[in-house]
Amino acid sequence: MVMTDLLAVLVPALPLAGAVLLSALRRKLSATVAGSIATALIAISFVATVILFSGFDTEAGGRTVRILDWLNITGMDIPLALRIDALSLTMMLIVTGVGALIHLYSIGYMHDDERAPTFFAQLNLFSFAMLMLVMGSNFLVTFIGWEGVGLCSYLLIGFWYTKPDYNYAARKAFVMNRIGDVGMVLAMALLFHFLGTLEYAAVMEQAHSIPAWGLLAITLLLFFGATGKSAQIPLFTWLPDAMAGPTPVSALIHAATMVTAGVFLVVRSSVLFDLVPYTRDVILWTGTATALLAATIGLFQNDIKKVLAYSTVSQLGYMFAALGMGAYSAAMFHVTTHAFFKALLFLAAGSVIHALGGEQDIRKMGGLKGSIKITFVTFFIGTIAISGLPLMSGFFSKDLILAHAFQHSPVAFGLLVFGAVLTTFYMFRLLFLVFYGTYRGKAHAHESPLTMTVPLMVLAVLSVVGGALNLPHLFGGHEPMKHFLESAAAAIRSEEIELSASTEWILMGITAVLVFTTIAFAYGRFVKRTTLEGDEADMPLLKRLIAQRWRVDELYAALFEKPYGWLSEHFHSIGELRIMVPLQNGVGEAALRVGNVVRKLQTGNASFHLLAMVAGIILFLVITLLSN
Amino acid sequence: MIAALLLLIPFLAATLLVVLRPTKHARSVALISSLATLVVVLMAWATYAGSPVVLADHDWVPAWGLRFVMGYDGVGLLMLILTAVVFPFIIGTKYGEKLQHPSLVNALLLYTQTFLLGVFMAQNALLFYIFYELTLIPVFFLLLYWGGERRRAITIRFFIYTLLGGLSLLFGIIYCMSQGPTMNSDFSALAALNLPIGVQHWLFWVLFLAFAIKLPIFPFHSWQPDTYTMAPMQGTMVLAAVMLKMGLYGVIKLVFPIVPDGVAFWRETVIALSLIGAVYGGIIAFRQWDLKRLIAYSSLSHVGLICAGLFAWNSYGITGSLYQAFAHSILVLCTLYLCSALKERVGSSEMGAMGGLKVRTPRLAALFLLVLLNAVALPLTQSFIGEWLMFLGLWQVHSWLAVVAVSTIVLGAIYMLYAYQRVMLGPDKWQLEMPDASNRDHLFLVTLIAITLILGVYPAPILDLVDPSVQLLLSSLP
Repeated sequence: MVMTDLLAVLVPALPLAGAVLLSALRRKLSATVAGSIATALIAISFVATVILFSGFDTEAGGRTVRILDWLNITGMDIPLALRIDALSLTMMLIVTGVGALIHLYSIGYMHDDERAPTFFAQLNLFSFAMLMLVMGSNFLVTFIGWEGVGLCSYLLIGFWYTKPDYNYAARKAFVMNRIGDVGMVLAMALLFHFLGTLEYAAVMEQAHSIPAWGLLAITLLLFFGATGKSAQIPLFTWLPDAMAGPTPVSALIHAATMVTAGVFLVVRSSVLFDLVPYTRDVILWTGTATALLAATIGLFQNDIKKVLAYSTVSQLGYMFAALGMGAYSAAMFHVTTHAFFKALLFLAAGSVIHALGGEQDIRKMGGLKGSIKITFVTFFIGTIAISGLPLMSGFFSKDLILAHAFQHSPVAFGLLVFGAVLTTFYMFRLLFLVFYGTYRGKAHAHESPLTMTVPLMVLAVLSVVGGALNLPHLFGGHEPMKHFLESAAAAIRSEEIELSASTEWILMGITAVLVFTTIAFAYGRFVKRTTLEGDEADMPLLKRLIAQRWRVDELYAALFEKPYGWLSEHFHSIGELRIMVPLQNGVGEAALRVGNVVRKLQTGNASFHLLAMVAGIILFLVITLLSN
Repeated sequence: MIAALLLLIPFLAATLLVVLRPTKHARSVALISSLATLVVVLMAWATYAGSPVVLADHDWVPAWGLRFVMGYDGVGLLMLILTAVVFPFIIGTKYGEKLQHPSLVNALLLYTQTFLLGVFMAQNALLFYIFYELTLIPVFFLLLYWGGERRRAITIRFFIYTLLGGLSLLFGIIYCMSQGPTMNSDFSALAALNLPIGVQHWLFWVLFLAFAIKLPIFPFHSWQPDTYTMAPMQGTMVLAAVMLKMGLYGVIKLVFPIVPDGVAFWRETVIALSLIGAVYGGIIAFRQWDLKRLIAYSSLSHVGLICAGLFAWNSYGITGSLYQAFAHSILVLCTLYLCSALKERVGSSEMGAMGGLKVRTPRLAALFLLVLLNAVALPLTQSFIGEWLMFLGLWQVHSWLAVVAVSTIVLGAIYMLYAYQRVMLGPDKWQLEMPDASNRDHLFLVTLIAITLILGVYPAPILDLVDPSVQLLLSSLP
């Protein structure tokens, strides 16, 4: 028992130690050494997690490891404590496993950057924060991680800090996340108000005693917090801008782990969400809307990373749609497979960018499949996995969500299938424009080093076989992941697909046919002849609106950013300089006038009196003190 | 013994400096004195058993109700610790500014410390008042002779403004004494007065006005931005890091016990004003061009929240407020120090003259970033503990107050990150040659940052100190 506690503490402690060590030695270490240390530490964390996982008994339920009293005053006991259960273990495996691969990849990717040790320190710090987020035994410890990953995301988006728009993107990400955090903090305050505790186990046990309005408020606020971190409507616009960060960061933080924190939070609190169908409806439709909105934007983007970013927003929308239908394990399944194939896609995209010396515009790519073979094959696998080609990991996880949707709401099902078609289209457009046809750029493409290609290959394998983690009955499996997660979240038990086998086969058939048709269409459009997007100005209205990302950024700028700046300036120029200061001067002058009258009554110098008074008092004090 | 030591060490050291006027070792003398004070306070902390301590109890001028009663409880001790911790840093900070007459500057700082320690030990209202006003005098001279542009006008305005508040306080205390059976202004005697509700309603403002100005809360704050900006760095540090905490302490010791019904009647008004200030200051800070002025408005914002938490008037609110008071002291020391370190290098504290400094001073940028974490109250920093407790406290008063209070976490992030970007990030615009953070910068900032992080991870030392006293205070209220 003590051994498992120690391992549990070690998992987040190692990357934290790495962060401290590497930032202390950041000027003395070379990129490779720093990268190796960081990778080794997170890899050891992964091994520790695997040991914890293999020794974990679902029958016994979770374990809480109390590290330290944190907030302990009358009426409040919130410890720094970790929780080891099926849910945290699942997330820990993703964070440390995929995390280790991305660390390894970064050794090659950041090799020539002079601030590489800082990069690895921050990557390790992120891993620590993310682990705190998923391992916390109460909401407040999760919040440590929640804010911590936000900080690391800020630091890493703005890693190349001499570029003003990168800094702007970093700031935007942090502030939008903070807006979501307001919801999270308020939800925690409410929970504490009702229950006097924030421990997950206790909260879920006593959830029934919270009045209905309280539950509604708590779940809506928690979900609002989740929209910030997981880039859902209305707080999604930061994620595409976040692509300013180095590509491994996009893979780790903005695809595989941090952005799924919102999903994790909802699953963690699934007992609460199960009690409030209204909030679940809000989540379902927000998720669906986000999935479609982002997918449409993805159709016309020309930056390889931006396409993937919108794709991430869209896939997160699928996860939230699943949560909204109460399909918590389906959402977690998609979190897992998405971590594999989206990390793969980003890393492969990074390899392309690396190969072309920093080029990100797909209009200047093309025909790369011959020159960077490993990257091509792995990117290809990622593409078919996310598109949900039969038997790929994405096929199983997306189909599970679609089956739930079919049973829950035909409208949602239709929209999500349409989203899947869009996904297939923009992903194959990307694949075809980058790797097929003829090369349209000037750089000399070269394959990336082994440290970069090995993670690609591992992730490619996982993207193919990842579906086995939760193989459905239809394919002879027993949904092992679902049963594993049941021990952590009771709500998952009631999450059954009640469709007949033939219905399920038909649903799969329909999506498969649609996907293949879309691929054929994309092939005709981008391989037979290469269709590139021209100037936005020449586009028809609707297409231009979509290509301009539905102008949501412009809307937010007009609604919030500009008014806020205006407010800040005018509070100062009018509120302070025109109202407060004159008011104060008035008071001062009045006082001086009174003072002058008084002074005329006495003869002498006011400041002398003052000093005399002080001296007198001091003398008195000293004498009194000494006489005792 | 402790009272005598705490008053005599800084006082004698200050007087020594005034008399001997050493130019070379003035700062060392002051530093040694402040460290000695720190040792005494830490010893007092180590021996503090959780119940109020009486250090001295003598009649002084019985006819006036003035008695020499000194002591402390957990809250007072927290303030003593805060004062003792902060002053070595303030004295050690003198960053390149060529101040005339260093011995006098240091003497004035030590006098201020003496009186502050007196304020936080006094258990008699008149004695408290005397110390409270005495602190103003050395600070007055500090601002008047060592301040920046427009120092005369601004200092006098500041002086008059705070003095007016002080007079109101004095009147309130005298009125209270006149209502008692004997002329006794001991805190305990005043707390037992049980004034009629109608009286308490107006007396609340008579007593609170002084503290509202001292803190300051909206709309009594207009002396503050100018004064903070104009004052020499050490003066601003004294004002922001310690003097304003007298306001909080005064509310706890004088306002809460004497006029509880007045507090019950007015507290939502005060919370609303404080929160307006917190939001107003936070929004204004965003577009300030001068780093020091930005710090002034951010301080207004932070203090608004602290005062709101205090007036939540429940265990979480008061404890959080006190915790945050400590955090705020450490924070302003850090931000003001950074500000002077930058001013020294760039020649101005205007952010337009900065930008891209990280290229030249990566270490300083890293330190700035660590300070920023505390400023935006990230978990595992000191500020988070305080803010979280205050949010809970305010929630118990009214959910909408908590909503407004929590929303300030966004404002803080907006102006601090923008400031960090304008100072440190972007291309190296000015190509100025400048040294990176020195050893002294590291000693100063890393120590304070360490305090921030340690108390963010393990807040028990402070919470355990404050919690029993807060419980006692609340249980004594009707």
